[in-house]
Parts: sequence; structure tokens; C-alpha cells
Amino acid sequence: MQKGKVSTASESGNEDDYLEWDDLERYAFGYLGMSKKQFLKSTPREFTNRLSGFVQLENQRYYQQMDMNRMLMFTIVKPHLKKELQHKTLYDLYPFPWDELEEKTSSFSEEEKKQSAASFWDKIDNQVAKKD
Amino acid sequence: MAVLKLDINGKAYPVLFGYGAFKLLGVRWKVSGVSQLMQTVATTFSTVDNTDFSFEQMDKLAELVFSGIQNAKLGKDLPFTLDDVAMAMLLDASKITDIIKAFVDSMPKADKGCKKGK
Repeated sequence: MQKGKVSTASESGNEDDYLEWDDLERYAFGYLGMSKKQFLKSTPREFTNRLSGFVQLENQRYYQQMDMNRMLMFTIVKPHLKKELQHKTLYDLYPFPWDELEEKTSSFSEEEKKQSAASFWDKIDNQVAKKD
Repeated sequence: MAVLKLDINGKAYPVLFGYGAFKLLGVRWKVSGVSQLMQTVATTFSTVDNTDFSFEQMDKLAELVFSGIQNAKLGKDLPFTLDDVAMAMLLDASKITDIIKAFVDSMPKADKGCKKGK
């Protein structure tokens, strides 16, 4: 398992992995902090939902932490960059695998994002102009 | 999720297909892992057609339900036997459909995948 990131046996992609009671108990008592009674009473569906929610939350925290580290690193390094690298964004300098994923899953194109931002600021400008 | 109840000897007992039930079932069927247990269940009931059960399948189903009741009544002694459970299911055959539905509902749904949450 990658440090700082949570993955489940099913994510390992190895179909030969058999889930044993020990594995389940490790997840239940270790990761999820369930009591024995909670574990025994939970159906596989409830347990899987709980575990996948936990994995999602941990991954989200990990991504946010890494994003913050990148931003900090970029801010520190930027003044010292060579001229030819000055135009680079933090995404160019420190790309993460999930940057690409985020771009692919984004429902708006770059042009749409620009238009949306422009119309938002136009509205703000109009409101400010009316107040003045 | 509504809790399934089965009438046995005139009293309604909740049936809960939690991991406790599967653990008890694993001991009863002498199956060590969760995956193997689910495979055994799938293999046993793969030939069931329209709730047309063989005697062996009926026995296994009774064991499954018995474990489900034992799990719902965690740590308490039950005042009936496996045969009483089988008889209760035979007397009210419509319950078999409910039991199968409850069992299927207790299983995880297909993974929808998870996106990066931000």
C-alpha cells in the first residue's frame, strides 16, 4: 500500500486475492474503528459502503494535502526560477496523476470556463456600477 | 432498510445477514474465508429456478436464515432448532422470496468508481 493513501484489496487488481476474516477485521477495527458488535451486525453492503466512503475521504485528504504542498513549493520556488521557466504554472512544474483525471472528468471546456468567468465578473461589474 | 422477520413457533424473529451471520455460517459449513463462503452460497443456489429448491438447497437456506437470526439476536440462546426454521419457511413459502431479497440486498452493489473529491 502506498504511504499516506488508502487502498482496498479489490483496488489492487489481483483477482487471486481472497478476502479472509482477518482482512475484514483489520479494516473494520483498524481503519473504520468499528466495535465488534457493529462489525458483526453490519451487512456486507453497509460495510463496503462504509469502507469505500472512508477510502474516498482519506484519498480526498491526501489529494488536498498534496495540492497544498505543491502550492507552497511553487510559491517558494517561483522567484528563483530561470527566465524560460517563469511562464510555467504549478501544474506544469509539479504535475500529479489526478490533474489529468480532473481535466478529463470536468464537464466544462476551457472556453466554457473562460466564458463563465467572464460573465460572472461582468455581473459583478454591473452591480458595482449600479451602486455607484 | 426494513428488517426481515420470520415467524417461528408463533413468534416473529428478525433475520440479519450481517458478517456475524456469515461468520457463524462459515463455522457451520467449515469454510474459512469470506470469499470462499460467498462462492459456496453462489454455487449452492446457482441452480435455483423460481424458488424451486432441492432438499439440500432448502437445508442450506435454513442454515443461512438460522445464522441470520442468531446474528440478529447476538449472544442470546434461541428457543428453536434448525428444523423449526426449515418448517417455518415451508409453511410460509412467500417468505423464501423475502429471504432471498434480503440476502441479495445485504450484498454490496457494483462499484460506481470514485472520483477525486475536492
